[in-house]
Amino acid sequence: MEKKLVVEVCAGTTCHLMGASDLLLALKRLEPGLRERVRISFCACLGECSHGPNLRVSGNLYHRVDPELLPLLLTRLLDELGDEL
Amino acid sequence: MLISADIACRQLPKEGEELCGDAVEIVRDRQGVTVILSDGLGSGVKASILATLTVKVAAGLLRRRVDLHTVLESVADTLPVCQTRGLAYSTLSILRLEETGQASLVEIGNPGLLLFRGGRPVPVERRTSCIMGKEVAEAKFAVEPGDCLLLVSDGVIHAGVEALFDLGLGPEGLIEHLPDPCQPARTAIELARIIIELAEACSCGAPRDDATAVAVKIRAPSRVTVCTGPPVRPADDRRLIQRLLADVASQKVVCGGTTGQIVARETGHELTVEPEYADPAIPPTAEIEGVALATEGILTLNRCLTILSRPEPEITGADGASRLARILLEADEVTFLVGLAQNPAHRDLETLAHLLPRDKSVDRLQSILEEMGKRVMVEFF
Repeated sequence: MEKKLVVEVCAGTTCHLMGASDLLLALKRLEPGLRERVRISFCACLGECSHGPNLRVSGNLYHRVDPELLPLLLTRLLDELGDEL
Repeated sequence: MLISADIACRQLPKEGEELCGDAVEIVRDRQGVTVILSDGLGSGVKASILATLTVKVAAGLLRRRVDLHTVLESVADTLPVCQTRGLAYSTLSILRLEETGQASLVEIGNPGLLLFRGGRPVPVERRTSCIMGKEVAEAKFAVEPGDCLLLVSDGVIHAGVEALFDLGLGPEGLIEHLPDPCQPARTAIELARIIIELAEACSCGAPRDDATAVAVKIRAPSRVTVCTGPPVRPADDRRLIQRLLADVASQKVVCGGTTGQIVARETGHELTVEPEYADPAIPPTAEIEGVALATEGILTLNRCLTILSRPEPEITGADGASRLARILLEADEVTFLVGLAQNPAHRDLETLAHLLPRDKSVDRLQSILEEMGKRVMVEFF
């Protein structure tokens, strides 16, 4: 079975106010080919409150993530991490 | 042993009337609860005014610890005189339950309170006297968890007159037709509803008098411990968690992402955040083994405060704030364990989003819950 990219959205107070719910929505609306290659979940506060909204993708942190650029970011990461997943 | 009481009331107005001529007042304070039932003379608006005045005046005076004789005098002086009958009259039952389990009862003109223990009715010994020309029955007795007490107006006892029964349902008929009121799964709300439905059925759907049922279920007090915010000194993390876990019987709630992580780390359990929003305005809840509810902190506490500030909070949401509000409403004793560490990133957000900081939210919650008659303790870390 193909391994998936683990994408965690920070559910802390600041990230929530800075748009974590928009990130979740953008993740759920990924085009089907990309959507089926990621596993989405929330995680507890990542402790990077000044740089929200934060994402953790396969263990790496990403700050001030723009929902519109999310498909681009994930496509690039999937290309880069392809074999390491 | 300390006790607490779940109380529910259901009413049925006389056929053709919009208003019920009986009134009930439930007054909770930190030492216990007082239930007052009054049946106003006649029916409709006039009876409703008499009964409402009676319970409001009595409740106000009893809250100020005024003696019973003065209460009865004041009620008699306050009630307007009926032009038709030339009388100012309403019945009165006052049931006082102390948190210690001591109960005192005063009855004037109402059907006698019914006490059930172990599923069976238990006699309550009454002493009668005459105050201002009225026969007053008084009783002092002890209640214990599992007991059930029923207060009804004569509309219940006389239900069925000129319909199913010659003399009405009567107390014996009520006891006979009532399912075991002491069963733990049978709530006070369900019992009050069953009694009123029985009264309605006996009168073939055309009640000839106002009917009121108040069901009181005695149980052990329920306690909740809410842990919110990390301690100022990280070295106190363990002490905070030990305090949270100390009371085994208390329901545990954790408010705050970092607080949740401390609890998970110190207890060795995993913290899993729910993958969906129940309400997009409130961050999702999480699960930690042994914790009834784990939520985000500031936003959830602020929303919970808004919910509980409403005059009669009706809680339907499944989000963290609604669930927290529901748990707090159902609790008799609440302990807040408040960590005072500041998250610098929150300072600006609190100002921008008009949010109360954690300690201020807890302070307001304490006032609201104490006004509801709950015991609230706050400890800082």
